[in-house]
Amino acid sequence: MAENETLKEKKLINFKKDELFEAMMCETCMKMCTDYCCTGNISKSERLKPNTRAMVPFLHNNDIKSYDEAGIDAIYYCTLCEGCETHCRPHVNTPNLIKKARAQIVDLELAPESIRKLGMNVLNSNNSLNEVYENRFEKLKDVIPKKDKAEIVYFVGCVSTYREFEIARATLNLLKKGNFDFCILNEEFCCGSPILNTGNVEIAENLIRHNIKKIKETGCSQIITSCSACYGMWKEEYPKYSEENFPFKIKHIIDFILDKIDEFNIKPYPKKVTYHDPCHLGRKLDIYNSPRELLQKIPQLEFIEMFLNKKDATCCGAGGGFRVYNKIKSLEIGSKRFEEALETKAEVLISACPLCKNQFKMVNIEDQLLIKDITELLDEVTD
Amino acid sequence: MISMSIKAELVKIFGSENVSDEEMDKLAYSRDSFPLTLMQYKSKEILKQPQPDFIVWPEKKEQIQKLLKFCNEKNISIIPGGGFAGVCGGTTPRGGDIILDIKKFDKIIRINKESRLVTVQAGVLGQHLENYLNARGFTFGHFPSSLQCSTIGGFAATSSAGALSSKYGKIEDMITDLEVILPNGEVIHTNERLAPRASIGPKLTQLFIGSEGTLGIITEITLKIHPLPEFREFVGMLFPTLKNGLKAVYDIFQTSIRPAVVRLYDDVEARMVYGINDIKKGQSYLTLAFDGIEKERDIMLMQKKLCYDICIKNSGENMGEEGGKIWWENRLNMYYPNRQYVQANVLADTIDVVTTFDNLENLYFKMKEAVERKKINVMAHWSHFYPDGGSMYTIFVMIEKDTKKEKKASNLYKQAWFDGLKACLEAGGVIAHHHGIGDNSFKGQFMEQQLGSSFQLLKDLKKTLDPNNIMNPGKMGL
Repeated sequence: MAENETLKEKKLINFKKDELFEAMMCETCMKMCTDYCCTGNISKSERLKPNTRAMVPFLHNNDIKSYDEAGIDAIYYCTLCEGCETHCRPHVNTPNLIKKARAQIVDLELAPESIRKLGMNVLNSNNSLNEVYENRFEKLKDVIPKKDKAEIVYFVGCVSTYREFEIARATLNLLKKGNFDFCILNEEFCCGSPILNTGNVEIAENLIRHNIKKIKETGCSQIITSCSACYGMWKEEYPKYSEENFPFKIKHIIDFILDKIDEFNIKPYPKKVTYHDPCHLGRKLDIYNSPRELLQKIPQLEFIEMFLNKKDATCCGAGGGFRVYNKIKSLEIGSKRFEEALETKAEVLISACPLCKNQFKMVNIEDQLLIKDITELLDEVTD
Repeated sequence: MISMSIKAELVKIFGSENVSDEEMDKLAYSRDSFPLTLMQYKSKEILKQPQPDFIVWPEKKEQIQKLLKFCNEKNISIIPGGGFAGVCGGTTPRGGDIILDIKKFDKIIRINKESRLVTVQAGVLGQHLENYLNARGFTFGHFPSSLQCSTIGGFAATSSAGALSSKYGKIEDMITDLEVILPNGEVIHTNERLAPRASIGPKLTQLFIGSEGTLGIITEITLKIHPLPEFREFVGMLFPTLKNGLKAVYDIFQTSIRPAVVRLYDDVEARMVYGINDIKKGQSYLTLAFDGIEKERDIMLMQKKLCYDICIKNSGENMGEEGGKIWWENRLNMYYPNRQYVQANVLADTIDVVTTFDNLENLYFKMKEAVERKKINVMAHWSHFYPDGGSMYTIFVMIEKDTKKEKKASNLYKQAWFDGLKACLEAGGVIAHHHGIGDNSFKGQFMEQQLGSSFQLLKDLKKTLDPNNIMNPGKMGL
């Protein structure tokens, strides 16, 4: 997609010639990315591999075969983990084709029920988890600074607000410990990631525009997130939707704290720890070293890499709207990644994304690992 | 109605979640990685491709046994497949078939570190097994360019070979036991006690390696494994002629030294792969690699030195290690679609042939001459060697600028294949080294000529094991 162009700019979404060419590149491949496709590997189906996914919009937009139920299933049977794109030598951006196909499917009112419902829920409650909007910061009110203007805004995100609020609490604590001038967005809406990724473009756009407006009202210069999906949205998508300039410095809490880590007193953490690279942070935004650097600054922490790490890391299975679309298969992928973590013999599994943490908690049925977000660990080891 | 009753029976055997007759599934399974099939994927021709009637995903052996019984009764053909990444149409449907996708047989059953064996189900992806072994300090040493997209069962079924084959062997050297479900539903092991070798009659494991799903369904494989190499070093040599290059390789293979990689290129392919723009017509380029564990390093370095000396003696010019390193890093690039090629409708394919050392150079010139007669560019490399000969990758590249002339492109492509195969046979070569035979409309039709006196035996074996010819008919000349 050209820079600053949004899917919404076309009322009826169509694929451009160069996008269809990319789809052709993917569908005529020898399927070289097969081993990296987490949903393809779990489905065991040729239909649910990247090359066939790319074929679905190719056929539809060339008037060869319209979207049908199985084709739409192929399009939504994907976590958008970018495993395929990252390992594609000619760099075919199949995830972008899938996102566009989803937008087209929504536009044609052919979206699966779960996806349609997700859109409606967000429309009604401004969060992706269909929780009561008015209760958004209920569990955090004792740690939220009582101000609405500051140098830094911590954008909390839906999962950290309603499910993994320990992450938000830890992040707030860290910002307080560092004596930073910060506030949160009292009228924060969902960042739009799950909505945009599932093709509900119009709804996502409204969320994005609202958040940009509210951020501007705070007078901040910097936005911090503890959620890798929110981070990706602010970093990559939001600037496209800002009519005026977009003067904000966007940082994930990992990079923000890493810059200032020497100002913190760090206590030892004598445990074996492994780290899961969230797709939104790793493959999408190339943040691989900062979390590892942070972990290695903790005395007595023994860091053990999983065999598949960084760009090769298996997806947790929850992203790209896939857990909404197919929870059973999503958790199967989560279990697979969890097994990979267990193989390291670590005691603690760390990630840097509330959705990854939430997913791993769901598959950690026998409490085999302590599962934490990196913010929680940092809060625990700093004074 | 017939189709409905077949579906009902299949659902009874496999459960509804493991049976499909969805149009998108049928489309997805109407291809493998045969370039001719892929060519149809650019246009409406895709809908004219023969499609299977059903796809089934067995989870248990009993389901396969029941399917075989049912298909024998109803005379329905079964096409077994794993990664569907073959390049000769070995798993493409003919229409009306049932595709048996083995991918749900995906367990790594056991690793025997002491005897260095690993037992896996047929649907395990090659790269996933390699990852599993690497994490435990081992490799199975098999690196075909399709490692990321094909299965262990597929390697066995097509008699595959990988980039490090000179040292680690081809798939038949790696496999020690196969579990096969015969067309009559019987489950057999070809070497149940995993003996490293035995004198108890013909080697039955070898009967099924390369059988391309025509003699039964491979469900489990036991392979030999090796310690994960801790170093890999390269040699690059430029030779004034192809003859010099081939002679150097011949001399290496008359010793007991087996470098992990031995790849000799003609001038055209060397220019493309290594970017040696000043290479002269008729020259050849050799890459050697040596790998091993640290405690073997001195032996390997000595072997490297001996090979180096052999090359120099054969007028080789040392080109350093860099070329080999770059090749290793980028060796898979050419297997992805190339934007310029797809845009210009460039069709390229490989005829992988094999012959004895005394005939290698002759085979090259004969095939090159035959294919180039139609103004198609030919280049070649030789990458799998033995003391008595080696295989040649005859790569042809054709450009059909007018993308509307797909039929013309497809005919030209077929012509290149036939001219190449015919020339190969006439020159005393063998038409496939490790890609297999695949569909009868291509290599399959040359099987009788190729096997000569033993073709009848193959047909008799097929008839004995599969009297109703339900197993992947129309392939391998059968």
